[in-house]
Amino acid sequence: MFKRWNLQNADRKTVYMISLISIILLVVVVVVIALVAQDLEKRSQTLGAYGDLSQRFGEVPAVEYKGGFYRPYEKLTTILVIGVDRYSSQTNLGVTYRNGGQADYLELLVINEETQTITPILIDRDTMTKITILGVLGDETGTRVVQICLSHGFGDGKEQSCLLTVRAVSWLLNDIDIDYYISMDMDGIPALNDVLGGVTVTLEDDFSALDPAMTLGTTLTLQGMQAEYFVRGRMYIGAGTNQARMDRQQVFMDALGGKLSQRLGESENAAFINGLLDVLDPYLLTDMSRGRMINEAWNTRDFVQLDPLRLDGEYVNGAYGFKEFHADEDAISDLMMQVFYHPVEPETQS
Amino acid sequence: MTKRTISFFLALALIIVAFSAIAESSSMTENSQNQPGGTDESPDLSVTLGNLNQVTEIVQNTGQSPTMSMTLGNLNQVTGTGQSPTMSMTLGNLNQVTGTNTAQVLSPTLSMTLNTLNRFSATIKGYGVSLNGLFTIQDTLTRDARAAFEAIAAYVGKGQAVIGYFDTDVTGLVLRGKLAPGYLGVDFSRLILSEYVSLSIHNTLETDIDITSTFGFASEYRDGQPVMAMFGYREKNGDIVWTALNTITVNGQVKVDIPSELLRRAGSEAILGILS
Repeated sequence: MFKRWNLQNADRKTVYMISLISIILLVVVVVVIALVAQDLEKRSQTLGAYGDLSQRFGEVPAVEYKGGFYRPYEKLTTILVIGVDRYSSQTNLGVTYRNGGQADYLELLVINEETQTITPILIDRDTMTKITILGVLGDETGTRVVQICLSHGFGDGKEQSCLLTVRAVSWLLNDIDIDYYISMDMDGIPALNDVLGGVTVTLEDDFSALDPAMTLGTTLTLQGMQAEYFVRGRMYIGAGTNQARMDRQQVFMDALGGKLSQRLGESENAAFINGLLDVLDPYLLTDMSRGRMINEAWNTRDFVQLDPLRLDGEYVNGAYGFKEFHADEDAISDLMMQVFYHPVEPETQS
Repeated sequence: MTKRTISFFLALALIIVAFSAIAESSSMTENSQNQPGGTDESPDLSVTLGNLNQVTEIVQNTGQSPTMSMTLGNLNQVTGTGQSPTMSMTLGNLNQVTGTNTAQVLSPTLSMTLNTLNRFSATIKGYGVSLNGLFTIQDTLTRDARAAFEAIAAYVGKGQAVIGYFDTDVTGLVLRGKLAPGYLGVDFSRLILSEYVSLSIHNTLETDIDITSTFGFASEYRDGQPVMAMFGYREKNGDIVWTALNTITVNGQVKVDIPSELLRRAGSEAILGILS
């Protein structure tokens, strides 16, 4: 049935050699396959550094929050507007990295292309939050929780200070991404007011110590320095609190927004925006290109500006008598969900 | 052992070697994924390092910006109020600023400024007797302090460790009992100049008691963190003399031992720098 091989010594030697070579070849093949596999794996990881396409274009998973499901808006642009407690003309130079001036006015504009809305989030300058501390030579020495306005005081007073403020606002608002910043020195206020023809307001406080025409109850169109008095005045004005000043700042910004929309609705928009930016150029600092600013202004001209949102929390007098605003962490999360997320049905969640 | 057996073991050994190589390569890949900073492929790491580099680059490249602006403290001096709200720090004292000139009304002195983060208290060392009227921390640098600061910045700008500027023989000072032995273990080349202020000295002490002064600054210090205060004053020949002082951290602040003899030599003005 079976042929029994009767190998001679010479044949056996040949078979052994063939077997040995086969095994060696097999091993070589295995090693080669292993090396190729390793190389392919490395390549796939290199691609991974730039993101997995399926993840990049896939639907962002919904998050569960207080019993509901939410998914982030995908077409958001965030711009932090910073009003700096400083005059552009100030030339008494500091030498340390502690001369940025305080961020007196902080407003985060959230432009939502999907809902065609602009939501301003007002942040009190006395909001207690983590900020970056720079040593006098510019080295980071750590973080500490203080009034958020101080975040701008560190740094070079220019881009670096703005970025430190952007970082502080991001930390305050649950690490959100902030796309751009626009910072304006205080003397930009009258310039902005005047280039738009003056903002009309009714005075709910008496400013006559600053300007005799600015008495309680007067309705007037602010001109020149009156705009700055209205926006910056605090001591000896009404309650003297930053909260009251923030209310006034918002009245001013709303009126300004109305004026701006009106002017944008008129012809020669691009020329108008360009002219506006020319006037404000000495007072503005931003990481947006002029073209980007013009595009944003133009693209959002018909967007609905929603009522400004503020963080809930409480004001207290700090240990050294300085005002502190302690934002409620739960309220911050609520606000973030309201502005940055939209509810989804449970069945559509990923 | 037959040749057949030898061949079998040889083949087996080769197979084991091959699989070991495969296993090792897989293991290396896994390790490189888990190790922070161990791979170029980690997107999160790249982003983080990129951000850090960005900040570093800004700091390094900015140098001394010629357009740095004034603090509120400066503003008040310029407008001639004479009352420095950031030195006094209490609302009661701020209320002493009277009148309604424009700068005062606009100035939000009820709120924090960077200078208001500076605080200090002083006691007689070992007795706890308050000497809080001894110093004030000035809002702005004096001319001497500013000139010295610019020299320090230029020195550090050349990539040299700031300790080198002060030319301090720490070992010698420890051996002479001027500094605590703990300083021998400190790598001074890693210390930075975190704070730098001008001090006004209001009272010089005729006795040889030493002062322990606690300073709070914008920078907060960790417990046990190596810190050293450098006390500078102008000598009669015009040079600024720097003295290293024993310093420890307490609740985020620094506690500095200042010999009264040093205060007498300094006169009415001194500079305090904190290395950390």
